[in-house]
Amino acid sequence: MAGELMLGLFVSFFSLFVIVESLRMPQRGHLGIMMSPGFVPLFTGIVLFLLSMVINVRALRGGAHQYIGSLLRSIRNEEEIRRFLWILGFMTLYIVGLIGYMPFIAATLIYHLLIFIYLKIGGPLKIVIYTLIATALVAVFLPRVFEMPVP
Amino acid sequence: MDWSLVLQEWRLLPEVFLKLVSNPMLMLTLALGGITGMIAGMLPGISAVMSMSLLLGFVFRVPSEIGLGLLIAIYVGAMAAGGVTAIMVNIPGTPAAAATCMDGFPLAKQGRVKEAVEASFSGSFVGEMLGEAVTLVLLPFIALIALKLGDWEIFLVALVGITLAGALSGDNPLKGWISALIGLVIAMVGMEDIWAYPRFGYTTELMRGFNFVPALIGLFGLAEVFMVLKMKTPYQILGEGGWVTINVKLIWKHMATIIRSVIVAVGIGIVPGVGESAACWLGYDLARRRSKNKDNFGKGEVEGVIAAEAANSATSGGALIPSLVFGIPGSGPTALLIAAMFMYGIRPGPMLMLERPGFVAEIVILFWLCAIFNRLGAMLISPTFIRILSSPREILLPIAAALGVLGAWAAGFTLFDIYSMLGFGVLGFFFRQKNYPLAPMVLGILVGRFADTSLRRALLTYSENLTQMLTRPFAVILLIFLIFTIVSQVRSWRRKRRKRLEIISNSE
Repeated sequence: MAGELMLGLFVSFFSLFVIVESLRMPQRGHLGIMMSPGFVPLFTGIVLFLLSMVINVRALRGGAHQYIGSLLRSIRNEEEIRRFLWILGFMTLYIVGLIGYMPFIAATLIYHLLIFIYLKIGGPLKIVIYTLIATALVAVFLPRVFEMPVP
Repeated sequence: MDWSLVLQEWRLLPEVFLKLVSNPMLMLTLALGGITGMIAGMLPGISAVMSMSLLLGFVFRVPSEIGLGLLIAIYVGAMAAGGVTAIMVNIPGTPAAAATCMDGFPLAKQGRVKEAVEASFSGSFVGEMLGEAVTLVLLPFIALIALKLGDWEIFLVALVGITLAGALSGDNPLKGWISALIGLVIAMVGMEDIWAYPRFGYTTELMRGFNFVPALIGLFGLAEVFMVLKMKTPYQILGEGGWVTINVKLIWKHMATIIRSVIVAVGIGIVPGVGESAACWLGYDLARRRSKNKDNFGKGEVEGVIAAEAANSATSGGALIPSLVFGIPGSGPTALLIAAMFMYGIRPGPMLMLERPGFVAEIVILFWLCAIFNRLGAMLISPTFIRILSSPREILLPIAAALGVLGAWAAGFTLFDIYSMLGFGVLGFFFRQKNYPLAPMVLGILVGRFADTSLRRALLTYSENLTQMLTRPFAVILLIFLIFTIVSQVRSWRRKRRKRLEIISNSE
């Protein structure tokens, strides 16, 4: 319930941002706002805001605001959240930290090695074999077949 | 519409068929192209449009029927195989396979992988064959309707597609519609088409807008990777061994569903830009409404898989009409086909049937032949792919994520595309945590720009008298269907919610 409220509020604030930015877009031609680049985003933002408020009101009626504290505490303790953050960390390291700073094949090798070690897919030999296969597929075979440059 | 030209194409069918099947190089190309397309369709991160565009350079070194045959084979193969990853990994290989996830993945989790994949290939095969046949027979009527479609109708089809996807892809239509509207907003980031104004263009990359492919890979692919790998013991799918064949009994049992899906798909496929992705949802919805097992849809209903795949394969027929007859692409792959045709000196448009008699018949026959080759190819390679996709998720999904990075890079060869894929993956994860479906968001991103431009052009066209928009018959039908869909979905959801609350209060 608390999570519903938090995501609902995020959507509400997002839609308010869209509405404000849409109103700032220039209005041209004789149709005024209807031909403005902001017309469809404005209309979409308004409907989005209304729908998100339905979700928020429902969540508040269910007492969601009382559980926000316990939700934040459970996030720190929940194993699934920790695993998600680790996986996200590996992906972010690969995409933001490695790609573009070293050859793609090396970045892909490091990413697969780290993530397979973390996920404990097997013993050291199995991890190395799967890392090499995965790297060969992603960084060598497919780019060659499709004649595409790699990052 | 000159009827003699259309009759000419029907008359030339046998001669063109013989000319094509007696070309061994072409047959080999269709077979290899089909396998390439199927591999592309089954790999999460590599899409049909991407494979076709990457091979476009190679296509110009060969004669036109071989080059076009190769592109069509890849397209048909990818559309057919996109359902396999939708079923086994819950990551649709193409956007049009998103509706297949609804029932395909639950079937796989129940251990009915072979049944689901057979249903997918069977629906896809018959959908493709019937879709082309319907297109050829109805060509003059479809062309007439296509001529009558204006910006207002295009906008309404996009809206209907988004509304249906939002209503059907989750338990709560409100969440589905929120997801779809967020997709619409994302689509509008960047330089808009009428005034060239950079909406939400706070940086040079944002002025370019979000590329659709990284968004698709992030929302469908990366979000699924996060959702599954966060579990200490992820689910395992055990694919059964053996050949995956066309299940004739299954096809016969659901023939009415297939025919309905095909007719809807061909009709919607003619709408440029939005038809292909919206058609699978319309076909799925129609099957659900008419089914005796409608409550089982979304929980593992074979009929749902067949309807979605038949619709998504049959759209190629409808999408061909505006492409060939008017030179307006009905979908991404048909846009590439038009590009290839121009480079071969073939001008799609109203003069095509005069300048190149038999060309339309040739394209239809190529689609038929590709459908047949694909089924043979599917029998050969799908056991291998099912075995591969049955690997432990801890091995398969990190590789799928890396493939997604490659796919996002190939979309535009910029790091921003890869970064946006990561961002969409995180967004998709949080939305899925709270049961917001992602297929409507993807559809919103896909059709958002078309819908926006079409609506504003329609308003400009009818600026003197907006009520004229309500006198266009196709538009009125779409509006009524839209209102009916919204009202019926909200009522159905409220009814289910009331029943759930009654059950809870009775048990207390």
